Amino acid sequence: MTTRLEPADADECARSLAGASAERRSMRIAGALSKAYLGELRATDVELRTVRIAGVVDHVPADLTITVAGGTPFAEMAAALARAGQFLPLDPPHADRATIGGVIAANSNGFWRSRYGGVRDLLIGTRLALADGTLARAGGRVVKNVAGYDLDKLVVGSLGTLGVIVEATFKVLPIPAASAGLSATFARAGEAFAAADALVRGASRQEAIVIERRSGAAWRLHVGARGDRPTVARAKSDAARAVADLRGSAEPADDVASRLVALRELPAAAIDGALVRAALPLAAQTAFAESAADLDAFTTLVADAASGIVRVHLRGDDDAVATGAVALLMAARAVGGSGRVERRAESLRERIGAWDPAEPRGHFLMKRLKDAFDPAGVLEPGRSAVG
Amino acid sequence: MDVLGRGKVVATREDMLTYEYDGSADTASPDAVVLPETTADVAAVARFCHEHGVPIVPRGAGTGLSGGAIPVEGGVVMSFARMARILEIDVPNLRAVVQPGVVNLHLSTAVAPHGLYFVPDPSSQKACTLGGNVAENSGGPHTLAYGVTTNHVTGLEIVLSDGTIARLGGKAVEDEGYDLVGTFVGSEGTLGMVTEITVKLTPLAEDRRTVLAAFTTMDQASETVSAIIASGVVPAAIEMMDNLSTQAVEESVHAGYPLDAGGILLVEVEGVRDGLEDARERIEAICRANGASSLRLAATALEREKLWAGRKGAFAAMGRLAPDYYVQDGVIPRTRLPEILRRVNEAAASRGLRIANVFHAGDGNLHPLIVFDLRKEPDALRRAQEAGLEILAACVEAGGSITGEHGVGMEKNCFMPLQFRPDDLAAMRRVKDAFDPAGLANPGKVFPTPSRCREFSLGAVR
Amino acid sequence: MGGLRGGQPPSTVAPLAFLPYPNADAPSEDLIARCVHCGLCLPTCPTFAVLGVEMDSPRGRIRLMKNVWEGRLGADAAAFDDHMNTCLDCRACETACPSGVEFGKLVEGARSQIVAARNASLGERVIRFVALDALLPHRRALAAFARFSYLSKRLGAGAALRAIGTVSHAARRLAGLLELVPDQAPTSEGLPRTVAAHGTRRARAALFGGCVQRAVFGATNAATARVLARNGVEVTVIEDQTCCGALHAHAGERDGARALARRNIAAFERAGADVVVVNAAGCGAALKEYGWLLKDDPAWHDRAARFASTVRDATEYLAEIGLREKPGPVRAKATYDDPCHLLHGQKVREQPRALLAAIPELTVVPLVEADWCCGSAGTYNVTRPELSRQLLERKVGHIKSTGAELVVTANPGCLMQIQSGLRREAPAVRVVHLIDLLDEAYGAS
Repeated sequence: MTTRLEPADADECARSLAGASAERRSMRIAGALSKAYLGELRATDVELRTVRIAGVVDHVPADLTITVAGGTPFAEMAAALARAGQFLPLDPPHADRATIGGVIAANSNGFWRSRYGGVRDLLIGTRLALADGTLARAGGRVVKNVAGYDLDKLVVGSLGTLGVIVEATFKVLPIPAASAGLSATFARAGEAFAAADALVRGASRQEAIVIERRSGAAWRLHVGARGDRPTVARAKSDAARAVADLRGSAEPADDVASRLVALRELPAAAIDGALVRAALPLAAQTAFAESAADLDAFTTLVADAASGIVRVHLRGDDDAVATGAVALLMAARAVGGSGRVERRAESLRERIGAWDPAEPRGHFLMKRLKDAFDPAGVLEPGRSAVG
Repeated sequence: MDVLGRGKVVATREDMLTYEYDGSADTASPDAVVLPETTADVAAVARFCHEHGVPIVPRGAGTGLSGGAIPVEGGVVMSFARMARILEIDVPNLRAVVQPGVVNLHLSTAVAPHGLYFVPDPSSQKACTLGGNVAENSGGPHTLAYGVTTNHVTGLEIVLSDGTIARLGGKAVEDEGYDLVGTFVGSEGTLGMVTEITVKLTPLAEDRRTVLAAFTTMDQASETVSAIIASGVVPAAIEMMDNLSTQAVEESVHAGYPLDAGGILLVEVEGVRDGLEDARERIEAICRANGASSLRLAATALEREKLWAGRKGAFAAMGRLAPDYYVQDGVIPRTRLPEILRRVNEAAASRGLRIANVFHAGDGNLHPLIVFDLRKEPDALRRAQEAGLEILAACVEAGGSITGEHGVGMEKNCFMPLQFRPDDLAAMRRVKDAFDPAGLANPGKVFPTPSRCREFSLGAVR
Repeated sequence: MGGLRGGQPPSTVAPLAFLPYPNADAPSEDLIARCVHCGLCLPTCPTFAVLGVEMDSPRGRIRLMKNVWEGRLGADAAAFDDHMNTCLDCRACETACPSGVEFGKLVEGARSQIVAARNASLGERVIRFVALDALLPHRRALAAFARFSYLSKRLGAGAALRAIGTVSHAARRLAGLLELVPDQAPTSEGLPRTVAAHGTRRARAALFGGCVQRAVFGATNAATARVLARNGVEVTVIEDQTCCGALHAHAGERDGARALARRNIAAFERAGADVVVVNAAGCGAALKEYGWLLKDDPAWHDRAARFASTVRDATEYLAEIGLREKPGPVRAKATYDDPCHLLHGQKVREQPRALLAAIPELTVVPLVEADWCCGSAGTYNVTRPELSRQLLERKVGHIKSTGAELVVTANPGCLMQIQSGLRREAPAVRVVHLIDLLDEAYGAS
């Protein structure tokens, strides 16, 4: 029987953690449960939901920072910012349901990472409820701060294994005045990635540079830009030139923004088969993408080509999916990157693990950190790559 | 001596006199200085020190401003001056792999032919090393738009205080598991030594506009900063200087800084050519609306370079005002700038101290420089530290931080309780214990130490 | 490190364990106080770049000077001597310093105290006497030495000395000196006393002939006079001038330097020219600092300062008055290496480049680390041969990568040093004084 807890505030949350530690009751940490598929889920004694620890704590528009409670829905924060003409330059999947705490704990980035930075770059302060029942602050509410260790970084992507994020502060930006987009098709992966690479190295700072490939279709490049009017116009013309230089064919560009949203939501859509996600050195993407597209179970590839984050959705025969997933993880590692099976169907859970069987670099230090923050081992046991 | 061989050890009393200081006001004597040339050397020294319970204090160029490289508890100072090679410039992946002793600017110079640069540009970038930048999570004027060191490091090789070598991250933007690279950057040598760094390289901007705006008062200049930030223009840098700093700087570089202004702003926008003129016009309009008495656009690259040479050499030019200075590094929310600046100046004036302000206004990162001559006023350092404490207390009270880029070091470790409660510090301590259980990695830094911090009565200012 | 124990308190030194500096030439406390130990000088210091230790950096050396004032170190300490004399005195750190620390004055002051505090070894005293007292101030002796060196080299004495040098330190040093002797035969033909200006006279210049310069590079002096004359300057050569004293000052022999300075000041005062033009950067820097050198001599200080204010490097002066006559073309690819005492010592950077740009058809390519010492540094190639060699190799490497056929510089020491480096590595590359090149260009027009 899993006990469900929904603490009303940070203090109650901390007490719940202390209680679980004392009683050695294992605990799932969740916000809106939008990414419950991540990692090695094990049954726990307790499921702690942060949904009541919610709301905007502080927002001084002129300081371009916002502080929100950990259980605040991402959409609610976005709406509060929009009222002040601002936005958090982060486009995570599940943005309609996800909580801020979940976005941080899952290191949930979208396509804007290269332009504005990822979760780790935008997060400037956190308050954590720890397993011993204490509440610890790290960072602060100012955009520049090197006082003490950067626990904000430690908690990004920790999947609830180190503590509960009860409050977070982000850098935000004014909403840009203009936007534009462009899509194009290419005959070969190499051309699509070369066009993306030209834009990554170019003077225009595009907001999103995404490559899409669906089984049996052409390689497609989607480029989005935002900013003031002259820079956006320039970004668009630079993108058009990069496409032309690499023999791509431009497509009507009216709905690039909505196409990008659909691609960003691939993790939400990939409910069957397996979704492999790799973080690669930029120049390794082409070969990786070509190999992926050759797999029997290949259906869809979506790459944030400016950051080297490539997602591959494999479907069909379980054997083919499992073999393909393992091959992609090995390929990612071989080129100096890393990979994970971000999502897989229930039927595949026993056959393929979420994490690369090879331990991540610095694993022994991760273990020590886990033990230091959660000596009883009650927080999300076994869920993360740390084990 | 036997661990590394004679050529890599400095152990005479006379020679070690030159390893007692860094760029800050503090000093302490090392028991030995080692000059490793390889990761294996670093690990060998660490193993030896671990076995004998001796602290290790890593040192880059010794330009730090918080005493991070000073052996406050004795032990071995480990200088990385001889691990200064750029190991790889990986243009396709936009990465470089360097040894910790590489000078910040040397990296940007080396990659410039590829149209790339390393973004963080601390004012000491001509001398400071990348290992030091990693340790301190260094910033600089242009981090307003592009972030600080931690935003530009993807991989590290580190050596723990027991001699264990670990590789963290790599060339991809992230790695599986915890973000150990992000945790290590900014740890000021207290988690271990860094022996190799993989950094991001960024394409150079196509063009830029650099505007020098003069104001009658610092208040006007501060208001202008808030107005620019709120306007939606995101400049690459917004720097502020008061009259006293401007005097010292102009004498040093002859860049044409106006000597009669109460406050000046150096504002830079960069990116594609299209739109730069618009941005410049908007900035100039905001400056005018806030009472700018003069505006000057750097007309040539040389003019721009001179303006920046002045700004970046500002701390170092303080020797023109007085032999000693004490600089603080507090950060405040940008909207509080006018009010806190007044409190900063009062904190110095009420103690009979001269103060110069030259800082990263766009980030709200203050650098009040209290200048004095210890030969003539032996108690000036104490008064300056008192003023510094009052200034930092005001920053924290305003919702800010005691340090934006210089680090805590041994200079502000006693002030940590201003910003952090015991539970916050206990959480950090867990990280320390995971990396350095023996406590030999740069002890006496970051965390308050009972022996040295007893004399600071923080209650008086809280 | 074997004796280290954990938890040992930092070593402490009793205050004033040593006596402070012996005399008034000591490195000025006020100048030291300008250093805020920021470290910006470190990467510009060649000895720090090579050795990588703080005590061989400008900041470390200033710290040691300060420690002597504080009584924590003796001015006669061997380590103090070592680090002060490992300094090239190239003054690159001065250019880098935002606080305006005048490091040249400091290190020369420190060296004077080492000389005063310590009885130099007999061998060193002999070398100092021969070099500083017997040769430099005496034109004829030096010219004879130069001719002897040239001959010895032609006869293979260098190789023989180098062979002996494997056993004898002194012989090795002498062999090093021989390396530096230029390939051309010494020319010290006396110049006429006055060279008339072409066309309307714009100014009267007294030419500072130098000692090494006059003995070994007499041709350059003649060229300087011709180039000045072509541009409307009447040139006077004063007979009773002597060595500038730079090498004495660099070596800490300040009394010797002062004696020479007084003689020169008096001699040039009598000439009554508008300017004193010098074509050796090391001499120029020294002459311009006569005011400082004689700061504590009330009878001479004002005269010295007045004299110093009339001194101009030849390139500086020509750029200042502007070339009246256009040089002829020189079809070559050239690169310019800044003499330290011109760039860092006199802050003359753009002027020589402007003169080069005025020569038609000359392609000038930039030299990496042109602002970096070649390792010559007065007598450094003799006192620190190994470091000097490393710096020379670095310089030669950069020169080779420019692909230039001509290396232009403006100081005899640098010229000899670079020539000796190129002789082995790139014999086809010619090293030339800027004024000689200009003179050739005029000859070609």
